[in-house]
Amino acid sequence: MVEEKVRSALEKAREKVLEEKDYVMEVVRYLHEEFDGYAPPEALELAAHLLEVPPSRLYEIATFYSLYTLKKEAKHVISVCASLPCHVAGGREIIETLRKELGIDFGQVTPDGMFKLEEVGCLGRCDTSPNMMIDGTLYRNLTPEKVVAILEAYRKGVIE
Amino acid sequence: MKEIRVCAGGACIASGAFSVRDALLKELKEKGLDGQYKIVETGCMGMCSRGPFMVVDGVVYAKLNERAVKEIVDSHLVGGKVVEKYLMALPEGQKVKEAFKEHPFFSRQVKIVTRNLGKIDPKSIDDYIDRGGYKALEKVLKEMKPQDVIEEIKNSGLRGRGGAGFPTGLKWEFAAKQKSDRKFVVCNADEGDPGAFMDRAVLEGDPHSVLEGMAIAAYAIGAQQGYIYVRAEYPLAIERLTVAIDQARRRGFLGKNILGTDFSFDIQIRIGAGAFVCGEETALMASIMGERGQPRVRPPYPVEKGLWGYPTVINNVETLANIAWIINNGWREFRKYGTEKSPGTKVFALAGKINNTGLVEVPLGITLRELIYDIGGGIPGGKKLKAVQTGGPSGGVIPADKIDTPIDYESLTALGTIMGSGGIIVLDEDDCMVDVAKFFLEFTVHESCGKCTPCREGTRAMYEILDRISKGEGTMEDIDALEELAVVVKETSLCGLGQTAPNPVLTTLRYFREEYEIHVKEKRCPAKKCRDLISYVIDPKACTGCTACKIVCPTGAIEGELNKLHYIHQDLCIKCGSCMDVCRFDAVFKVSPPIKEDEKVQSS
Repeated sequence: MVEEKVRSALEKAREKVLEEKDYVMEVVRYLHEEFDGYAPPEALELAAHLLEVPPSRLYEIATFYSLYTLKKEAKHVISVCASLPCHVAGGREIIETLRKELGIDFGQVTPDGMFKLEEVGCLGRCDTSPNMMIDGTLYRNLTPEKVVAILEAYRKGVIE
Repeated sequence: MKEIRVCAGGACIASGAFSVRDALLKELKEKGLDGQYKIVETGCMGMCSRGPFMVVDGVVYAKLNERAVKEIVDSHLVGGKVVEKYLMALPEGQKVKEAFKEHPFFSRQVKIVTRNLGKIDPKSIDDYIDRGGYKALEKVLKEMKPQDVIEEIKNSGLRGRGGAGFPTGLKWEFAAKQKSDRKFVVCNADEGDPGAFMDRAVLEGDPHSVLEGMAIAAYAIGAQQGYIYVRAEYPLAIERLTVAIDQARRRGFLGKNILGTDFSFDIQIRIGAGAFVCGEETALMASIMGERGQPRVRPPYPVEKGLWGYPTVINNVETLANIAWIINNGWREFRKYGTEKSPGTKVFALAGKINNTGLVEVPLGITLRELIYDIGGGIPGGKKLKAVQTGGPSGGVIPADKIDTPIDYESLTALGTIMGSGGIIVLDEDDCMVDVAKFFLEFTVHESCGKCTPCREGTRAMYEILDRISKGEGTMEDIDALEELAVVVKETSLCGLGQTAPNPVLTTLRYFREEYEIHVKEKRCPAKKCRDLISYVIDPKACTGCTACKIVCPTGAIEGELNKLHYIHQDLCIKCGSCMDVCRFDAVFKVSPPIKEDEKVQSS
């Protein structure tokens, strides 16, 4: 199972890259696709073995970039903007509402495995601050009330 | 067939542009008009706060929903009568039909980079070609020598729009002079500055203009391969670029023997993974080469030793989007806009406390006053402008009394800030300068790659001091230490991230030192923003005893019976501000310095 996914990631990266050296970067990226949002250590090690590079080459990439992770994420990843444009538009209250409603801090996952809360630098939507993104869907012009309603929709499965 | 243009920029999509489009399709069909009108989904029209937009016969309709579409089809398309209630209003309140010509937000703009935004369907190469797309590439390949192209760009005076403002033509010339059998062109689309989103809008709304710019750059320097390094946070931009590259290859604008000449050039996309520092060119190259995104010492500059050791030109999205226009219209035309040292236009992203948020392209040399008041429509709620933050975490704040300074690279540097990528965050009287500085430092601490000590340790030390000051625990020595540290970090950091990270601190200290001192000496936050230095209290004269605040308070800190005066227990209050948000009688207000339990405060 793991080997299948690793081989598939290697295959996809091989098709895309032009140079020998940037292969590892794309491998890490495709591993995240294969494993649905994370790259487990055993997959990294197997990929390193197949690529004939030290495992540290893959680990250094998987741990440096904030979008890469070694652990399975929650069902939904909430990325809330923690930058100034959102901050001056009431972002602090949004972040607080999220913390309160979820009972977790940045980088943590709710006990039921439903949500992970993450801060992001900027979502590039400063015209509609404050913003957050859940699994790639953007929510804008947020208020604490909207946040509560949105979380509720995910909990009830109205939004998948 | 007539066109109806529907804005399908990221912001409009998020506010329902696709349901507007679907409703329009349905209505047209029902009225039998689907043979007469063609719907064009365009890139960002700029005024994202009023979307979704739709343009019919030059008439601009804003803030649309499905019901609005039905009314517009019934009245405008069938009956020939413009629907006034969905038109845009001028600042004075008067509604205008052709807002792109009549509304000051649009009419003062000069569109070079954003020439096709809102006009073409970014998914259609034919739309781009119909508006003169790829003509510049053809002209360059068939009529100009690489050196002529470089001269043209040098004469135009175009400077890098990513922030540093290095002359683009000069950069190309350096790369062209390098003797090497392999060369690269890289488009830096790792737009990470909080407050900037023009590159996203260009990539989403007019991707071919960037590809054409890259191909021209490649011809000028003799490169065979290009990369676009784009943030993973911009999925729509990645999607549209992918489509555009594919189309350009099929039409022979990319690939082998472009347009039948012996020039070959191709482009690949590389997707970032959430590291802000990768916007720095040497870190970006490291990332493309499959390494950790850490910068290295320059020289050698990328034009000498770039990707895999070969000469590489790295240009920003906005810079590249200027190229085809300059080739088509000539450098003299370009120089008609802007100033002597900063010719051309710049796209600014207006955000923060400003009425018209969105993207505007204006000639360089415009003043901040014109940008904020004439185009941006001023500050909401009748509040007072306090400062303008430019250049994101690498920039600084400009105080309200300096807003008549013309915006160009040199004058912003003289004020202690930078042009950066063009993010303009407007701050009003409710914003605290210590808080702003602390905020950006928190960002840099988080994004520092950790390679060099001044940036890794220095930004953290600065953050800790700012944190103390914002909590009323700072000393006057802290302010001096902060300033000293800021200078050291600026002068000794390895890359642009560390070298510019102290700018928010240095400029707020330069223009708002008194505010820092009040935080230290009086333990007070004049803007009432720093949470540890404020208390929420209830005005006995205004409170009606409606219990709304008591119900919403998460910690049960509010006491009071129905129709009787309520009271906030300071020892229980966590200062979340919920009470203030729900109060309909403006009875909850903030005081600074904070008060203790049982302490009485006079209402202001």
